[in-house]
Amino acid sequence: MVLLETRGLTKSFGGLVAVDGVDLAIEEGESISVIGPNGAGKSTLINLVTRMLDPTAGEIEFKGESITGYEPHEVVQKGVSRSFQTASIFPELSVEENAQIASLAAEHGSFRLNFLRHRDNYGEVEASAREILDAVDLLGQRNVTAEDLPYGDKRRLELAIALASEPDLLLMDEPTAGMSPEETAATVRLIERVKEELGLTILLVEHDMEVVFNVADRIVVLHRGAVIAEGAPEEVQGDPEVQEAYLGGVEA
Amino acid sequence: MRETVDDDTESFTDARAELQIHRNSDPVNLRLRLRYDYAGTRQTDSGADTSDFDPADRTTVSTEADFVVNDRVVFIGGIGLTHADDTNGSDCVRYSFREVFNTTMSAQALAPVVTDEYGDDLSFYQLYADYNWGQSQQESMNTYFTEAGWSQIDSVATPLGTSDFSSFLSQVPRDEADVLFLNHYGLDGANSLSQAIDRGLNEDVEIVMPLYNRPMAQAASGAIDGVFGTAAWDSQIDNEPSNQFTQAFQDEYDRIPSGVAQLAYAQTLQYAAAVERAGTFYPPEVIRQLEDYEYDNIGMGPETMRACDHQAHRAVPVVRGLPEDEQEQGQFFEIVELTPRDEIGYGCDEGPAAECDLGPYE
Amino acid sequence: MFLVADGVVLVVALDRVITILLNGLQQGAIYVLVAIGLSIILGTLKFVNFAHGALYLIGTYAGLLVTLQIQPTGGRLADWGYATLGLGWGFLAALVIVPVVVFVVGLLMERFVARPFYDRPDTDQILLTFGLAIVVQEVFKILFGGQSYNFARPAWASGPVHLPVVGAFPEWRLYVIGITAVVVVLVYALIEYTDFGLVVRAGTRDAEMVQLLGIKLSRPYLMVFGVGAALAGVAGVVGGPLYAVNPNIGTEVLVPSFLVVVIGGVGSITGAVLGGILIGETLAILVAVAPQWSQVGIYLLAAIVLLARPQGLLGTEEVAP
Repeated sequence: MVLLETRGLTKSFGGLVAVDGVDLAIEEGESISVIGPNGAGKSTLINLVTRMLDPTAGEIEFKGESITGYEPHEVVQKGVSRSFQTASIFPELSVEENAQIASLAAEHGSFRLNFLRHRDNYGEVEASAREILDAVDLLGQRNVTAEDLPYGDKRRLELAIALASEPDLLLMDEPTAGMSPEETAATVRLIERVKEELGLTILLVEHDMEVVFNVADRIVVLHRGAVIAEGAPEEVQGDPEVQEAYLGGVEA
Repeated sequence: MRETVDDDTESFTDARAELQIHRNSDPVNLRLRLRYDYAGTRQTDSGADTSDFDPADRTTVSTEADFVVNDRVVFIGGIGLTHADDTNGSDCVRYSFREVFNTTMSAQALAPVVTDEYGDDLSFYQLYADYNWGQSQQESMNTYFTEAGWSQIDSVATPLGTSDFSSFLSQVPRDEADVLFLNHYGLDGANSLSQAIDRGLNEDVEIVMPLYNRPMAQAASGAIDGVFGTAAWDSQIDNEPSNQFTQAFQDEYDRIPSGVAQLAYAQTLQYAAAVERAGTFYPPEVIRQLEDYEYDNIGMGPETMRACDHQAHRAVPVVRGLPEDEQEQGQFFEIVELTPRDEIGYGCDEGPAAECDLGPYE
Repeated sequence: MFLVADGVVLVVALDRVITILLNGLQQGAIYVLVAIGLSIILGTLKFVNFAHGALYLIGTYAGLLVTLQIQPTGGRLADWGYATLGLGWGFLAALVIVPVVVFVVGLLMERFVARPFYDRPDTDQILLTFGLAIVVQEVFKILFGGQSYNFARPAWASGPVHLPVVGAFPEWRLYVIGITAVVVVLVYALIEYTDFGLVVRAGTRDAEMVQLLGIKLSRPYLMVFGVGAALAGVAGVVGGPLYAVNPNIGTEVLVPSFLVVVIGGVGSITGAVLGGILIGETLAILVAVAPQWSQVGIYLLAAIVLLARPQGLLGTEEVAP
């Protein structure tokens, strides 16, 4: 079953076409990696899917339903979650509160006003927040203020926040950027594990080819906003056009 | 030359309204209108209801001296309650006249009444609004009550812009002081007096509010109960011109006029009459008509608009606040005494007048 | 003898110090209530609300009219023949009703004034809300006249209470401190322990991310505005009897309350409480030692805090330039 599909998705800023008629189909359970040189339109593509940007043309469907007119928070409620490029946690809140606010969003969909109710009374919120923290091995640090976490743990908390909304599709924008090799390896293992445990579909934007080849079932290559190649990692690696546009720089 | 007029914005606003009329209207019509208003025989559409003006309305306006000197306008109206000694002392000008008394005269009128009521050899403490008027009033109180045998413990300035005087009031040495003078006016006065009562200062000391007006009495409500002070005029002053004015004003506006309303009307009429006597609007001639003019028609007994300092010498009403249950619309004080002019005042070479140099006519 | 004399001196000093501290607390209390609303609205919604004082004004007049019956002597209402206005239901009724009324006013203000201006520059927000503040003030002046009304303290808390050590102290002001403390604790609990509070705290830090998580912020924003307004309403009712009531009181309370926000740090409730107490105590102490400087002192305090900590004592971010 196709989980996410884009048809002719286009975004231009003035004269610049950042995303150019992208047709993309992601099967449920699949891990896809979007690669491409800087300025290829990867981030714009993600922003279009999460509805942070309005497309100039084209259509986005999620679970067979058009989400082109949705608000960002509605997209999240449909089951698309995103882990950000820059560290996206609430630094002053505790690790647990970070997870709770994300769980809250997932449990209650649109935020309800429950003035007099202590949020710990939401058994589900509490439970799912802990579950998620456990999944990313942060449960032991749940009372730590987020900004005091080491860098790698912050990235994991970020991932936990993205997972708390119980997404079907997880969009990850360079999840290992700035990490040491050890942290990167740990993160790759973590991604593999949560994908396994939660049955996630993953759309990964990543520069680190090692991560890409480790995580992705399929690779989509963007160049100047357009898809120039698509296929299993080995196929893409051998594609001359890709080598020309992107990997080419390495071999030439 | 600008100053913040906080003590008497009520009258100052009147002054501006009045000057506006003076400068923009046909003077003859104005005079007629005012005259008819006063007699209460004709409806008018121009009479600003002066009792509407609010003492809380702190505004910065040019001082009358500035205005008068630059514009060559005779100013007798609204300076009224600018009660500071300097106005017709060191700051006096040829083109300005003052009908109402000053802080010296308030102190002179209050001292015998208040010392008679509360006793001899008492000690007093003062709070005063920290600008020209407040300074002037606390100085006058100190001078005349010390002369009457009392002694000052301290006199403390409260900065402009203070509306919560509670901390200042907590500093009053209630065991030591017998009397507290609150030299605040308008809204400040209403606040400081209410806050003093709320703090129970009246359990230990007697409070004196040297200068009252009606809006502040209204806002302070029950707090004025038994508190002595002076007021420009009050509708309870029982004589022919006062009663006539009260009646005319009531017929027109359906309410009892305030002291400030009376001042504004009375002074405008003085000007009109002076113009009539001079036969011209030419200011130097009008001024000459006003100087040393004797009159007895505004309800404050016989008066002289003194030539040496342009200060009216007239009676000063000493009043005492009524208890809340005796207060009525427009009636907040009991008149304790209308101190006649020969018991107060000073010569042309004395007090504030000694510092007055009026300047040229033209 | 010597020791006894020494002891007396010490006792005198202690009672003065306690009196000054108590004075400071009660002077700061009203500012705290107004400043919390200002601070959470500025911190969460990034909306500069110069009309917050108008909410205090509305609270005070509403409090006056629920508590007492007044005879308007000026203004249009008097002209229209309303000789007596007000319900006369007493102070406790006002303390319940007025915050609800001002809460609703706050909701309307968010929806129709603030929301269309969230994406506009600060200067636009200031112009808009400053203008609105003047309009509200003038409307009250037109309706009730410019004169001051006496908002009598409730009979059960009028006049002085005789405290140990301090001596006579205005009883109402003790209630002001007490009511403020209770309200502050309630608001703190609301922000710290409820889901609403969690969303507000997170939204204060990064509104875009909260939205990306799937939370629609327009309703929490509406609530933040409503709660902030209700606090100004409480302040209006509680502070009303402290001063004569006239249309200018809203503007007068706004400036010190902004200073409290600046000192305490934008968006921080604890900061607003700390800032309010600091301003109150600074006023009270300066009145005791250098009365002429008491008004200037609070601005000086704000300037010193800003120089040392531009984000305010408990603020986390500098206010954007």
